[in-house]
Amino acid sequence: MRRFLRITLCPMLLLLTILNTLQAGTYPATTQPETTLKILSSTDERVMKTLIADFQQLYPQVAVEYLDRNTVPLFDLFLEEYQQGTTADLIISSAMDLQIKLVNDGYADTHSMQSLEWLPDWAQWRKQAFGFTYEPAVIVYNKRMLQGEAIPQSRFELIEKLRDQPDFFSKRVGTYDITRSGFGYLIASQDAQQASTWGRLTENLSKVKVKLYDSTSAMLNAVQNNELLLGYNVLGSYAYAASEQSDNLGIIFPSDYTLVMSRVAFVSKRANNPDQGHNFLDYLLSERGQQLLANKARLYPIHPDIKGNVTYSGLQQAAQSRGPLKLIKLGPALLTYQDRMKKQNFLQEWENVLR
Amino acid sequence: MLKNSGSLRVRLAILFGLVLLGGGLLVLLTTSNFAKQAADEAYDKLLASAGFTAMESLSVIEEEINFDLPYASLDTLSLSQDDRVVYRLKSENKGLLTGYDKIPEPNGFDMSADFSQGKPHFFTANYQDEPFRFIVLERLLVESGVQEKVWLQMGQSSLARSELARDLTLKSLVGILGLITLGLLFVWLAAGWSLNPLLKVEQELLQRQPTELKPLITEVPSEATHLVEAINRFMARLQRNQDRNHAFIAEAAHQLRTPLASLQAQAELAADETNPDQFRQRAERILRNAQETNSRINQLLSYATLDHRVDVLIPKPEVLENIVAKCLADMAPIAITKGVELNFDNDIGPVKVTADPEAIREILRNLVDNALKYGQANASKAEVHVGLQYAEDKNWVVLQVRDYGMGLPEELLQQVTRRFGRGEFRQQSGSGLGLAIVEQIMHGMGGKLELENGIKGGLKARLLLPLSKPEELTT
Repeated sequence: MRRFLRITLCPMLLLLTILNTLQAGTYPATTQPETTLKILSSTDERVMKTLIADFQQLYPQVAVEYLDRNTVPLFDLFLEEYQQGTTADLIISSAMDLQIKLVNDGYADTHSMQSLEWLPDWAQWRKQAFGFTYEPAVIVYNKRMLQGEAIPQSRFELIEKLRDQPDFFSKRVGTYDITRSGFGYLIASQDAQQASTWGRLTENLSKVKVKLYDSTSAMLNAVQNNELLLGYNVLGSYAYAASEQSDNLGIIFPSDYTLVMSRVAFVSKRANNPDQGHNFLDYLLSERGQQLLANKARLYPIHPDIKGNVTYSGLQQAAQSRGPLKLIKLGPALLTYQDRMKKQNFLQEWENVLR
Repeated sequence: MLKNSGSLRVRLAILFGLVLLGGGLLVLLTTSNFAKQAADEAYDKLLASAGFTAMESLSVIEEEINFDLPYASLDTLSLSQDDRVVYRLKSENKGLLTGYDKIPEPNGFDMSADFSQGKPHFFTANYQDEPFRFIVLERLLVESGVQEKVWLQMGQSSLARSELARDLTLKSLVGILGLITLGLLFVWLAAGWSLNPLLKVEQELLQRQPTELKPLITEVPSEATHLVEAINRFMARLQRNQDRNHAFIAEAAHQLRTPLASLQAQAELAADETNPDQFRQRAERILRNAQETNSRINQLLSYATLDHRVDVLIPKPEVLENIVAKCLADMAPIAITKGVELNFDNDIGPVKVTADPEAIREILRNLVDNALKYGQANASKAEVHVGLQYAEDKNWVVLQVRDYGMGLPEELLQQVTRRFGRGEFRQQSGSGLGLAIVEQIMHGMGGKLELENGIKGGLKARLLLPLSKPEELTT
C-alpha cells in the first residue's frame, strides 16, 4: 500500500514543483545593473519578507527570487536542479540533518568566516553550513481548554496525563507526521536519541489517536481553533509568533529538556550567483539581519548580543528557570538518522506504534 | 688600513649557520614525516572506534540483516571538526545494504592480508577530489537463515589530520628556529670570547713606547702562541738591529773622530811649516794618515753592509761558481797592484747552493780583501787561493780562501767568531775582520764559517754551504 502511494506521489510532487516555481515570490531590483539572487527555503515567505526588503535597502541592485518549500520537497528539488546544472544560490532549511547531508556529500560552497568569530562552533560546519537561528521545540496548548494543573510541564507529565485521561485527550493531540515533515523527522529522531521517554511517549500518543500534521501552521491553527488541546514538538518560533496574534495559544518549554534547533543555510556549489548567495548569508548573520530576525520575523536569532524574548539570550534566560536546553549540533552525527536502513527502521517503528 | 680577508666571527657564523640550517632542515623533514604518522595514528583510532561502534549494531532480525547505525559512531567522527564522512555496508550476497555506493574500493589483496591477521584494514584514497582515510571491517554473520560475510567501510576526509600534522610540524619549526638562533648567538659570543686574547695583544702593542721591543707577555691560548712567538721573534730581530745600529754609530764616531782630529792637527802643523823638506815630510805623513783613515772607513762601510744583511737574508738556490767568479774578477785589479797572485780552483762544477748571492759576494770580498791585506806579511808565497770543493758530508760545499802569511794567533782564532760587543768590535777592527758578522750571516743562510791556520802557515777561511735539494732546484 505504502509503496503504491510513493509511486503515485512522485509525478504529483513534480507537478507541484513546477507550479511552485511559477509561484516563487519575486522582489525586483530598484537600480541597475541588476543581478538576481535565488533563495530556496523552507522558511515561510511571509516571515522572510521584511528581511528581503531590508536586504534590498542595502543592495538595491539585487532582485530576489524566494522559493518556499517544505523541507523534504526542498531537498529533492535541490538535488534535481543540481543534476541539471544550476541551483538556487542560497539554500535554507530547518531540516538540519538534510542540510548536513547535502554539505557532507559535497554540494556546498565554502563561505568566508570573516567577522563571524562570535558564531559558536556547533552552529557552523566546514565553513559551509551555517545555523542562523536558535529555536526551541515546544509544546503548545489551548489556553481556554487547558489550565493550571492540566498543563503538562514536561514529557513525564505529558505521558502521565495522556495515560490517565485517554478519553479526554483522544484525537485532540497533534504532532508532526515525520514521514512527510523533514523538520518533524529531525526533532523526533533527536527525541529518540536523547531520551528514554520516546517509546512511552509514542505509545501514549498512539493511545489517544494523535493527529499528524505536515506543517507547523496547520497544527497551530488546529490548537487555536479548539480542534486540539495541545501540539507536541512544535517549532517554537512559529508558535511564539502565533501566540502573539492569539490569546488562545500557550507555550511550554518542556522542563526535562528543551530541544533547540537552527535553521541552516548554505551556498550551493552550483549556484548561478554564488556571490549574492554569500552576500545574503552574511546579511542573515549580520547584527542588522539578526536584529530584524528577532523583531520582525520572530525567528530567535543566534547572535548572542541581540536582546529580546525571541533571541538566543532570551531563550537562555527563559531556560534558566525551566530546564536544560539540548541543542542540536551541526556535524556528521546528524547523518545517522539519514542512513537508509536506520531511517527505515525508525519510520517503521513509528508507523507501527502510531498507525 | 690593511686589506683583510673578512671577519673570523662572520666566517664562523656563516659556517655554523649553514651546518645548523642543514641540520634543522633534516630535523624538520623527519618531524614532518613523524607528525603525519602521529596524526594518522591518532585519527585512525577515532575512525576505528567509530567503525567498531557501528559494527556492534549489526544483527539479524527475521532472517534479514539489520543495521541500526548508532548515533555515537558518527558522533565520534565529528570530533575531527569539519571533516566529511562516508560509509557503506556491503554483504557477500546482497551487495550494498546501506550507505554510499560510489566510494573508493579497497585493495582486495591488502585487505585480506590485514583481515587474516585480525586487523582492520586502513587505506587512503581520493573521493570527490578530496583525500579520504578509510577503514574496512569484516564480520561473518552466522545466524538462523543468514550465513555470509559483511563489510563495513567507513571513511573520513583528511582536514583534521593534515591540520594536526601541520600544527605539530609548525611547533617543532619554532623549536628548530629557536635552536638555530641560539646556536648563532652562541657562535657569535664564543668567537668574540676566543678572539679576546688577540685583542689584548693588540692593546699591549698599542700601549708600548716606539722603542720598547721586549717580548709580549700577554697570555694567549695555544692556537695563538705561534703568532705571538712570531711577533716576539720579529721584535727580537728589530731589537738586535737597533742594538747593532747603536754600536755601529758609536764605533764609527769613535773610529772617525780620532784620525780626523789627528789629520787636522798635522795639516795645521804643515801649514805653519816653512822648511820645504819638513813640509814634504809632514805632507807624506798626512797622506799616510789619510790612506789609513780611508781604509778604515771602507771597512766600516763594508761591515755595515754585511751587518745589515744578517736580518734580510733571502737564501735561494744559486750557482755558487758564478758568484765567486764575478767577485774574484772584481778583486783582481787590487791583487795585481799588490803583486799578489789570485787563484781559483773549482773541483765541483756549477753546483747550486742555498744562499743569498749578495751576502756571499760581500763575504767573499771581505775574506779576499783580508787575505790580500793581512796575509802577505812574511808570506811564504804571494798568493791568495780560492777553492770550491765538497765537504766530507756530500750535502755540503766548502768555499775556502787561503793565504800563506802568518795566520792568526790561537787565542784570536777563538775570539774572532765570537758574538761581538762593542769592545770586541774594536779589537777585531784592528785585525780588519768583521768575522763575527760573517759567521752570523753564514748561520743565517744555514751555513758555517770555519777558521784554521795552515800547517805550513797561512790562514784558511772556510765557508760551508748546504747544497740545494732537488725540489728546490725545480722552483
